[in-house]
Amino acid sequence: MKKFFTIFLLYAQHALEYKARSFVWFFVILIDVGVYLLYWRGVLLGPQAGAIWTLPKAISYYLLLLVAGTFLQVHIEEEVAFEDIQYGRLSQYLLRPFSYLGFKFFQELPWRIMQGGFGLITLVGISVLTRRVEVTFHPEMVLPVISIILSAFILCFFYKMIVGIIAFWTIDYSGLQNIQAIIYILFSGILIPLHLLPEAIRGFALAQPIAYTLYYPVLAVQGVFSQEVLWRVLGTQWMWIALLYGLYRIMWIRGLRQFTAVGQ
Amino acid sequence: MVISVSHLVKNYSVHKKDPGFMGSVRSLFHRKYETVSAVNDVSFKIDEGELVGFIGPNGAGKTTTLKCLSGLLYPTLGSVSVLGYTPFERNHAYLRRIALVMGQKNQLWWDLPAAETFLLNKEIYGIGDLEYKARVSELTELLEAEEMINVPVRKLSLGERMKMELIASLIHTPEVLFLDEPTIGLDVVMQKKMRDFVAAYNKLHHSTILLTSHYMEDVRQLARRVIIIDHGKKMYDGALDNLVKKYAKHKLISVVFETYVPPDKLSLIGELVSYSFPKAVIRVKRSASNIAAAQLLQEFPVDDLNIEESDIEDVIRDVFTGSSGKA
Repeated sequence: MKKFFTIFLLYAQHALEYKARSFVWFFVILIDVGVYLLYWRGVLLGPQAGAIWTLPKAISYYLLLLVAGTFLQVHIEEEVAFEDIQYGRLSQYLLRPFSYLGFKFFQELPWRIMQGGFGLITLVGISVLTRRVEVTFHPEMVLPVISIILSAFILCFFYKMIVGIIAFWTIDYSGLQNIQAIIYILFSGILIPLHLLPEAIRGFALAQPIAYTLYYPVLAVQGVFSQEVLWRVLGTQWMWIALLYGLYRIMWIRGLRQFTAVGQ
Repeated sequence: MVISVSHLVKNYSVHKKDPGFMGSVRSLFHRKYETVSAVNDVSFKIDEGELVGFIGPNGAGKTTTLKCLSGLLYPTLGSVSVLGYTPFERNHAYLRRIALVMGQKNQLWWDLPAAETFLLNKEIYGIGDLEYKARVSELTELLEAEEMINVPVRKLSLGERMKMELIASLIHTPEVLFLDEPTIGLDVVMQKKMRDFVAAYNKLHHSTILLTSHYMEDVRQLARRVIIIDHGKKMYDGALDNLVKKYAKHKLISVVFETYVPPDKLSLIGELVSYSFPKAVIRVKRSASNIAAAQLLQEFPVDDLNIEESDIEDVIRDVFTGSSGKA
């Protein structure tokens, strides 16, 4: 019996050492439940929202979200955190005369194009089969919409790079990454359109940068916005890009002082 | 002067926890940190074209020093200058003139041939087509690796991968090369090839090379000058030959006997290292080696006798044990 108690104490030490991770897993469940509560609240108590979100619009929204998610949702943060920072592969980049940021940007691009292609084929296939996808097309809106899509990718890239380089300061990155993933799903509009969120958090949800990586680009492609709003969305995206780039630079410079090039 | 290190200090802050469950509970409220000094007040200078052996036991601070020199780590204190640059500023002009090769890690793409990494480095370092071809040709010839550059890296042996790694790191012809355990894990044949290559490269390009290795043969074959570091402190900096004279406490007397001599009698002269009649090797105190040799010649039927310096590895072991306070 004593050996089992010893095992228990050993893992109790482990849990205490990784207390942040324990909290994160509790937080994951809490947020999961919270998101579904928000969703049903939106569906049951939001008659106005219900009027705006017809079935074809909802189908279009989620199908466009699928394409946007594959094209625009950057997945660089885990590689930056685990392989580059925690396993020390960053050394190989730091020793050569080029920009790490630039390298990562062009490293991610082919993956987005390929996965986005799959998403696009799926969208076209379902559109043809169901004829329920509604996209309003105005020639004068092509330029701002394309600009919003490209800017969304750049914005998402900076956001994910910031998430990745947090690994300079923590050894328990996986817990943090899980929280980030949930926050991203919630505030990018992947689970529910942000306009369906309760009023108390809707304002924040629509203003924060994650919304500009997926939610606004999808609405822009759907043709929901006027030309004036489109340009405003684009301007806000670039404001966030500038802010996130500044934040990234500060974190990068400070983080490098923490970097120990472990294992390299 | 190509490399100048002055009073370099690199400290790390390490979390310490008391053992057991209660230690974890205490650590929850009062987290204790301890400063570990990886490099402690190390200074040296290296001239252009020098090939210097940088040696020390595990955890001595060799790799940390190399990382500070190549710009990967910020020193806690002290100053470092390489080619007139401050390494940790990672100026691109500086990075174009150096390379750090680590024996245990690589920059190659696992699923692609090494040639793809060479091409990427060609673009990164802005090397022209003709120059690139000439360099790849020179390096593959020196390393006898012409056939391997188009084979996926995952299909290469450890030695072959090391060759590719060297080519990738040297494609821009760095003036300063930091080699961290370049022969680790390689068989003796491949170790020799690597040593020959490093010597040839140093001679051909007059590049400055700082080499760390656990294999004394690497250092013995390549470096005339060695810097010994232990527990973050510099123990010795000078010619390899002088190291033996300065630190060797013993000499080895190699004797060939005409007739059999009982080993217990030889043990009276000094420490009997080996005895397989007719040859015996006896370790004696350096200061008493002449007396011991005379005693052997007078008292035993000696056919041949030689007094030799201790093996370099033994000498270095003496330096390390002396520094750690062990007898």
